[in-house]
Amino acid sequence: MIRIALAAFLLVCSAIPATTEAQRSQLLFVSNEASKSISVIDTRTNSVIRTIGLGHRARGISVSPDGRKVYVALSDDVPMKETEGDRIAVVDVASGNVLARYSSGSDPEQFGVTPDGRRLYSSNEDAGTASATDLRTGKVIATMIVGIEPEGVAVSPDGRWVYVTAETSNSVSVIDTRTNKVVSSFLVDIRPRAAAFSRDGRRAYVSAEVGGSITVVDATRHQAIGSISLESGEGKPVGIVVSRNGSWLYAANGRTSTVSVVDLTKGTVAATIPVGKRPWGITLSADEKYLYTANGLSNDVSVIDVASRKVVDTIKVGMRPWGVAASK
Amino acid sequence: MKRREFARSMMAGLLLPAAGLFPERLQRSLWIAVLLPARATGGASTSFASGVEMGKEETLRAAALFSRGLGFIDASYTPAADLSAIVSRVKAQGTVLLVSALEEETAELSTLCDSARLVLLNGAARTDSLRRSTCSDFVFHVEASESMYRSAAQSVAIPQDSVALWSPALEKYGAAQLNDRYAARTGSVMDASAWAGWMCVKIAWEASIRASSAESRQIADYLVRESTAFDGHKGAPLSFRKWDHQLRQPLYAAAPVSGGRVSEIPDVAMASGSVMKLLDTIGDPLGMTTCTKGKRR
Repeated sequence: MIRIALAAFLLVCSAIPATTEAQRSQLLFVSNEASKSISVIDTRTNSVIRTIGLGHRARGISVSPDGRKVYVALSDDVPMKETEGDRIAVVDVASGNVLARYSSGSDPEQFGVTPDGRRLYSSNEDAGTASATDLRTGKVIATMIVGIEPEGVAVSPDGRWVYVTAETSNSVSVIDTRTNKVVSSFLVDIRPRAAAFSRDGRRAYVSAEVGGSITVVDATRHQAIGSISLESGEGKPVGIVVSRNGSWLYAANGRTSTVSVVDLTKGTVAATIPVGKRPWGITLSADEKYLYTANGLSNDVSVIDVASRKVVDTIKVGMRPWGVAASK
Repeated sequence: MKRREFARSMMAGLLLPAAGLFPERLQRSLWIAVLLPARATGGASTSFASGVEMGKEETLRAAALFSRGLGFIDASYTPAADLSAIVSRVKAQGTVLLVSALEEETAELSTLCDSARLVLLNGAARTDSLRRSTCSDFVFHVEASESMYRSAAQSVAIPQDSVALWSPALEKYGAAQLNDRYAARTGSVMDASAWAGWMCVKIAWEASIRASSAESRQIADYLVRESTAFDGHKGAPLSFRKWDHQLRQPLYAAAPVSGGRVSEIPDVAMASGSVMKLLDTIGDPLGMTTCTKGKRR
């Protein structure tokens, strides 16, 4: 009995520091495609405090709405066929343990989690579909045909709509989460990659890598209403993030190794910030004071001070970092 | 963005208006004819046909997403056949765009399509004269010209027959995904002819949906609009030169260079300024065209 009580006490004690640590500081989670891992960064020191091996190519990454889990899209090197390597890994933020690997169709690349934390929608690049996974059971509950070569996924702030971009068909498919059906599609600029909603849900933005632009979408009608050219069309936007007040959009321009700062109230690029090589993933810190980019060819993360629009630190991570997500 | 601010931005020309880029619904169905040499039992024509088939599958799927009518008419050509009769037949069947894998007959086909006001997408003939003297407002070239192959080869000092339109070894810019899709579908690697067939169908469909039209004149006008661009998984926005209707695009050294990577010509990844200007460094410059028809020059 005493031994059991002592073991329980030690277990509680060992859990406390990790949880408290996670609560005190903000953590960054970086998916490393080539080294098949996640780098966990403490933003107080801007240093990697843990590396979590996953065994498969890690790409899309997101933190659960309650901040307790990290979801990572994993895929194998077998094209056009779903295998055990094609999964959504669920990582416990406190312990760093992989809790589960959920099925999510073939070759999941990006995904979005509904605000209630119950469902995850992923794009299946090979299959040309999107999958809805029930996060309570880990089972795929619906598979929807979307555009050719689906990529970016964004869930509206009210959880009602999911936008799935498709690189080859230059389209966005709109999924109604009440029915899990594609209810509409619209065209965007060429080679769309990521999508993001404004916090009020009225606007959405889609990056077009080859088009060198951001397509502006009226998310109440699911219609593209305009386009903002980046770097005179020579920008190569991939990952995007929108500020909470809806006034700023930050685009990671992979091939030009820059971040475009877009003033959404004017529809213009306010600044261009040089970062590491081939930034794809991008995220804002919870207080929106810092931006972070995952730089795939320099194997690092650039830390940008939002106010001064300057890179203030660079953090080495794993091989070919793809995405970056910040804890809540 | 507040509505008033957005409207002000639009008026100031800061945001590009949606017209053209994100068009309204297309009312009429689009019919695309595909003209292949008969007895395409091997080589480039077979690859082209396989690329076309993948293009058909993907565009039909995209058309379904947008609830658009899209149909294909297959036509084959033998040297004994009357090309004029073929063009008349597909025109009568409602065709507005013709995708062709013919080579020697392309000059005659261009003249026939010009008369019939059919948009021709040339996917196989490289002859420079097709882009110079034998020109038409309705004829567009997806296959690169001899002039492009020649200047690309000269620029990197390799033999001209070592320059290709596409390579199955390409990986960047989503090329790996395209190559994988094709290989999974056909069991073969995507060679240059297969890419040309696939790209012709993609351009035909996208031009129609972006122009919001199934009329050949409007589609031809859309193809030479300055803002028009296509993604061919080559990393750069591909567009037709107004002066010779040649698709601007990078070409490739057929054999992978050191490190197993295929070098692109010109090197789009290293472009520091306008990619369009860089792509215009291979092939005929504006001054080379002797075309005096329509809206050229």
